[in-house]
Amino acid sequence: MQFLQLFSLPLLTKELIEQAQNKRTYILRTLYAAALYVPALLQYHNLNGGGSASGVVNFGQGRNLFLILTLTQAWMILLLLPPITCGALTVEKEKDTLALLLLTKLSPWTIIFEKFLSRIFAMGTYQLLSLPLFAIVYGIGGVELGELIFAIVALISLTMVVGSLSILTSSWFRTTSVAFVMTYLLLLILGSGVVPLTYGIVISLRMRNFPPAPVVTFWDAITDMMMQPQVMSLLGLVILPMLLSIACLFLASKVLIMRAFVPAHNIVLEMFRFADRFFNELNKATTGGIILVPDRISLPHFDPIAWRETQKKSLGTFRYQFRILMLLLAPLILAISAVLTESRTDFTSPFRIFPAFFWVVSVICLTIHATGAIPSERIRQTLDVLLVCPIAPAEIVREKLAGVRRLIMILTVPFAILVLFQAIWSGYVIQGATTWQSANFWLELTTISLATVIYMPVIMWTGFQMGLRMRTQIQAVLSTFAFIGAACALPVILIVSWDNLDLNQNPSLNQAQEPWLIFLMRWLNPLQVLFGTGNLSRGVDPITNTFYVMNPRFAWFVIGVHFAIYGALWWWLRRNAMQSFSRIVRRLEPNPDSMD
Amino acid sequence: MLAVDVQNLSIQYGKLEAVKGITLQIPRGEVFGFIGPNGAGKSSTIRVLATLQPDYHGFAKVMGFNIRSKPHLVREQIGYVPDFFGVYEDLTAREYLHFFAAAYRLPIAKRKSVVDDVLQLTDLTGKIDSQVDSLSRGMKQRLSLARVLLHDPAVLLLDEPASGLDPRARIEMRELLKALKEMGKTILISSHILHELAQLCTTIGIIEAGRMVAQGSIAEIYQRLGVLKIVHVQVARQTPELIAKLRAVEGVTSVDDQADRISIRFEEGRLEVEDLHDIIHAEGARIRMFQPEVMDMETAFMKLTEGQTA
Repeated sequence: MQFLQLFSLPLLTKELIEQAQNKRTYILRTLYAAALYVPALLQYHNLNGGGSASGVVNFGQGRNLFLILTLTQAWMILLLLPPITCGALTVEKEKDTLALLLLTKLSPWTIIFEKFLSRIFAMGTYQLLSLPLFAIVYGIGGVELGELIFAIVALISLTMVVGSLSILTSSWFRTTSVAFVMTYLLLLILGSGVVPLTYGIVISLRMRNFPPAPVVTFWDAITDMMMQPQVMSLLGLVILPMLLSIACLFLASKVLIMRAFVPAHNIVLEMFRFADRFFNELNKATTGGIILVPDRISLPHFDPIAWRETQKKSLGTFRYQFRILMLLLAPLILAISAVLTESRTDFTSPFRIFPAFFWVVSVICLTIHATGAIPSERIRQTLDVLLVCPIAPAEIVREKLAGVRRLIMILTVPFAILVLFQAIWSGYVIQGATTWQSANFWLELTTISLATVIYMPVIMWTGFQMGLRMRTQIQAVLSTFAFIGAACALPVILIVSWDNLDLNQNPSLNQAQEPWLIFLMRWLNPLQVLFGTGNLSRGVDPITNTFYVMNPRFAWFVIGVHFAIYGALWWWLRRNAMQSFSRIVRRLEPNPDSMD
Repeated sequence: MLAVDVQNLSIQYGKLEAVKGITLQIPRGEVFGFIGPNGAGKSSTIRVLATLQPDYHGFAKVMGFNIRSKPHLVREQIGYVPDFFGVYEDLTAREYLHFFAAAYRLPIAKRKSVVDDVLQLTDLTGKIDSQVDSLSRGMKQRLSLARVLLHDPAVLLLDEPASGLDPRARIEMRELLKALKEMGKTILISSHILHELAQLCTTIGIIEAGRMVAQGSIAEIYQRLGVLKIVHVQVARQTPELIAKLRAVEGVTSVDDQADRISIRFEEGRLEVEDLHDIIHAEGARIRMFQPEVMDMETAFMKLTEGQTA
């Protein structure tokens, strides 16, 4: 630190001291190391000879490990860097300390640069953890030195781009949560459009071939470039990201003062208000302003907290929830119309995308709404005032989630329409279906119905619990997403690990031959249940290569067990939230053991 | 019956002992001023009484209900104003008050009149349909007071209610509290504005570093602090004999002959101020100034505390 002070970097020094004192730094570092070393060591174990044979047989086998390492690090940069960087300046704004910082002799550029450096240093310490693994990869062989350097440079470039974009959003926006969402939005735009296009232009220039060669995704571009460590690609991977980073940092320093004191906006509410204005104008233009269901603002009678949640919160009011419903229903109605007009006999394929779309929207809406229930009271400093009211803790919890419960009801509408349409339509066209199709159809309908009824409350209670326990809503949102991600990814990781450890001696497409533990893990995964139920009830005839019904009762049993487990989780999360609410918010409840 | 009865209250946050065995009793209808430097333990004590501090040792009762065994009944008896506004800024004043009227389960038929009454009492009737976020700090604080009056609680717990208010808002707040005092409410109020507490409180407690260093009526505390009184005197014909005679008076501990005055220190129990005046007059001195040192709350506070925190 004294060394840094020689160069007069007080903000960087302060940030690094804070990071060193923060427990989160060490937790993230451990998670980063685990994410790198566990798959890498499993892959190493799975090399020829199962890791136990002489090292000679493994020579030249490092390529896979190299790819895993590089891509894992790229993902970790994308997942970890925005959360640790987006708060760099927004936290100063939220705590009203940015003004004090701007009053010092530090220029906006210095503030931005030192904040950026502090986050890059933190990420650098995480990335240094991979050096021993890269050394092993290089030692095993199969990767050239140029490729190794190329990969490291690519990772540094990615770090710079993600870090500088996060700093830019942090400088522009008022709150960490908005900066966080906008960083990923910008990364999505960059990853899905700008980078592949730029890469295509670079390749085309090199090949002297117009129009640009099509590149499907960012990852295709990265993987392709990693495989072709040419000078041009290196320049494209170093110079362009560096220019982009410098531009982002420059822009961030330019807007820092301009955006330092902007008031906090509820972006969701503003979006809805914008939609309100648009629809009101549209209504005036088309109907002359006829309103079928006017807004009724009433005063609370019996459940005041529920009243506020459903009448005053942006995501809780019926008007805004109806907008979400319309957003979900519009494409579904179009697809249904298309199926009906074309008289298609395939009544499932056109709708494959809809459950995924509905689930993504549902998870985001439910998580944001449920996690904000308690943090919003803490931010407004109204929690204590609410807690001294003579309302039972379970009642407070129940009422706080009234808006989320109504949102669940709204979100189930598109699922119900989808299920009902498929059920009704199948009555007309199912006659020609195979036995497997018929059996599977009802299984899938039941699955999607149960999933809607059970998963959504599980997400609601998980979000609520996270909001109850975390200091800020953004932490709660990230934790809820992490929980949902873990529920979907952990079974897959365990299965892959199992396969890599070679304990499953007879891997097979047929689940009947799978070890029961693998089978259980596979079917604990909500994604597998939501999108792979068809695999449960069918077998593949190796001669005719057609599906046949394997054991429908078994399939129903597996689905039943899955939802029983998630139903139990729902019950436990609800019970735990009700019981632990007072303890967590530090409210006294009657203690019959104490003397009067 | 005591409105508030706290015996040997201790609160610990990790290794920090914020409150160290405080005992205080507040009879009904009293206004108790809680004075102390920042971090002395005032807010922690008030949070115990507001049922928001489960980790404490000792014994605390409000209106005869033990806080640990019957916190739900205590909540019916108290009105708590924290040291921040605690108002929902997305509501109007009317909606805000109806929200809490419903939370306190007031009969629906009575709510409108109760809300009108508390708005009138807090002089916010004209702001009934204003958004809460458009109100000034003083109005928000008065709205907080209106909230705690909805269910007509017996005890008001006010944690620095005048903090951050401008002089006009402070005066309005003080007048409002006087009105509540006249209505017979028991009020426990913590504040840094000491002279305002002196005008309002019937008893005060001075807390420092988690300990109660003085407690009683304001007069009692002055008396306790004024064991050695000082009177500043100017006379027309000051002589060395006068100084010598004053030093010889029973109860006088010192006489300081300064350039413009004589400062006489004496023990209050052994000599009264009026008697001292008579003695000087009897010596033939013509008195130009006779000024007993005025002790205010600030002086008392400074004498009793050493600026320590828990």
